[in-house]
Amino acid sequence: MSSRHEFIPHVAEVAWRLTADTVPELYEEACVALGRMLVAEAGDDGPAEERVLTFAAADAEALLVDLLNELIYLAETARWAPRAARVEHWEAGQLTIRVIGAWLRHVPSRIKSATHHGLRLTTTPRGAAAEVILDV
Amino acid sequence: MTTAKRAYPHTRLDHQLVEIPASARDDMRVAARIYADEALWDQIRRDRSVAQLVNVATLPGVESPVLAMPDAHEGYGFPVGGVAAFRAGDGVISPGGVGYDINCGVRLLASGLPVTDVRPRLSALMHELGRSVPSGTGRGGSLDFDPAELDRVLATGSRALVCRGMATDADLLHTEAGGHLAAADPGAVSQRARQRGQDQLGTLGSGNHFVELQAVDAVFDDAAAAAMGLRPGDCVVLIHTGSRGLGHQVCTDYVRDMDAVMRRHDITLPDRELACAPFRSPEGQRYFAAMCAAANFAFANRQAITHAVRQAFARTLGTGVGLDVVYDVAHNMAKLETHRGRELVVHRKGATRAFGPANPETPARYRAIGQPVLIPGSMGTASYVLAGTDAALDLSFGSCCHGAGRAMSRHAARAAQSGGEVRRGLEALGIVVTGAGNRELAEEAPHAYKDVERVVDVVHAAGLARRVARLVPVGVLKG
Repeated sequence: MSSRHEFIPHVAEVAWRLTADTVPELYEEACVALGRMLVAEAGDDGPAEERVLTFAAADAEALLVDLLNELIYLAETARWAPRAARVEHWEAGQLTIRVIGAWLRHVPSRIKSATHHGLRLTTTPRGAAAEVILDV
Repeated sequence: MTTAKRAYPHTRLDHQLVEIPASARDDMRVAARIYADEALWDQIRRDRSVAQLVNVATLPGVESPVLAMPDAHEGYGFPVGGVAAFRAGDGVISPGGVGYDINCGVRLLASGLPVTDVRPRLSALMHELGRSVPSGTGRGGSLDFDPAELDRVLATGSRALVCRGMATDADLLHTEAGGHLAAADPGAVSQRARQRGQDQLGTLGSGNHFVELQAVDAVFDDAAAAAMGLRPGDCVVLIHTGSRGLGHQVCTDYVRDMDAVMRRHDITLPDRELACAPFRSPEGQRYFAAMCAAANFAFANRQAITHAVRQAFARTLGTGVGLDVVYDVAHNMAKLETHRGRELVVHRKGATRAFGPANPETPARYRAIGQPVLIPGSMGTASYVLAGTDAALDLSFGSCCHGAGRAMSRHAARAAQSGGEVRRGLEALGIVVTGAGNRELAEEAPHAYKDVERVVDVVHAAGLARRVARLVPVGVLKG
């Protein structure tokens, strides 16, 4: 199974289902998915520097929300969006991820936050999956 | 997931009200009530709104009942259109119960000018509004606030703009809470939140935010309309926006903080987005202080936009246009209020206050009629002005709905009609649209929302507020 994301119905917000072979790949896919939405809204202004982001949280779900919220913050304040990502370290409650960036042509305003609502990150022998809702 | 769609046992109490008993789920502490006629009830139960409301009914210290307004739809944590009150002594405060756009709200301005006088200059006026009020992607504000001034905005809200000549005493008098929540503590607002809000004062943002020129199409209550300065055929301006990135970051920060301390407070939740803390705990008090500061930022934001709108009117139509603030109400807020002799923390998420004539917080100008309640429709449909009732205190903790309420996802709305088609449809109605791209127009199209006429009928018939005037759109600046 390769990593992918799809939109799932929500009346007011944006909701994704992310799937990947492993939890680290799920985090990487979340970066790609968000980056595509940001670039679609605010335009791609070329390659930007890489950033190494480190998070500590209670569990895998909270790490996913923290990662997305950090990327939303960077997009709004630095016009920097994720293009690709590679997890460097992941264990219980800890995540270090190297993110390749793109400059955005404009400051995006559509996506405001990642929420914990209904958030589930599950792992099975077939891989990892999560549903996450973004406030727009 | 506890928020999955599920049919709960319910009883229709009357034509406007459905109740889900506290026995419907083992963990419910109180009943849930939904203000809806049969058609709205059919729409509301199609999504996860009811499950989300039932989840709210499980929170510690919740006062009976939890409520959904007729415009309710699924949100995250609380449903949008949700009202829940928690005892200040043993209850909680929840950032997810307020929402990310803290004090998103609406403000109505009355011009005293017949819309027929505006129409010949409508395109020029909408162009000027588009230049004056930054909206959508990539548009920061032109106001320059140093950190000390931003602190003043966070501490005092709209008041901070008086010394800049951007607000009047009359503006403050006709804003909920005077445009200033005294419990605000700028020190509780993170540096990240300040950074996100730094150049956003006086900006609309995106999504369903707007500045709309409207005409008073019908008056249902002459005395109330007169008190509000609304005459048939007059041009009015409705502004809808909130606390922008600053408020979103405050919510993000405190959902995270509370998620981390709930175990210590022995709180378990059916949905993590309901993260909360006892209101009297240090975490609860700190969030309340930060939320009030973000709310003050939102009041100041709508005030700064009011100033820009007044300037745009003056440049286009001359300096004689007054544009008085009729009222400014918050949609997303937790307020410490006294109901039934108890101090309660009333959470309104996508819902507004609707205080009646007897309430001391109703401005003096409206003591005979009740506070103005503003219910925007969707683009192309009517909006309504109502007046709060004293009965609403018993029915809904003095609350009412905040709009028509979404009925369709953004994706489905885009699939149903293109932005170009929406634009042409609005133009065919004589409505000038500016500021929005086709994607935003498609997502905010009238068919994506519930029928505002039906929503207002339920509000009026239930006694939550009474109908005063109907407004129809003339020009729309979309975020």
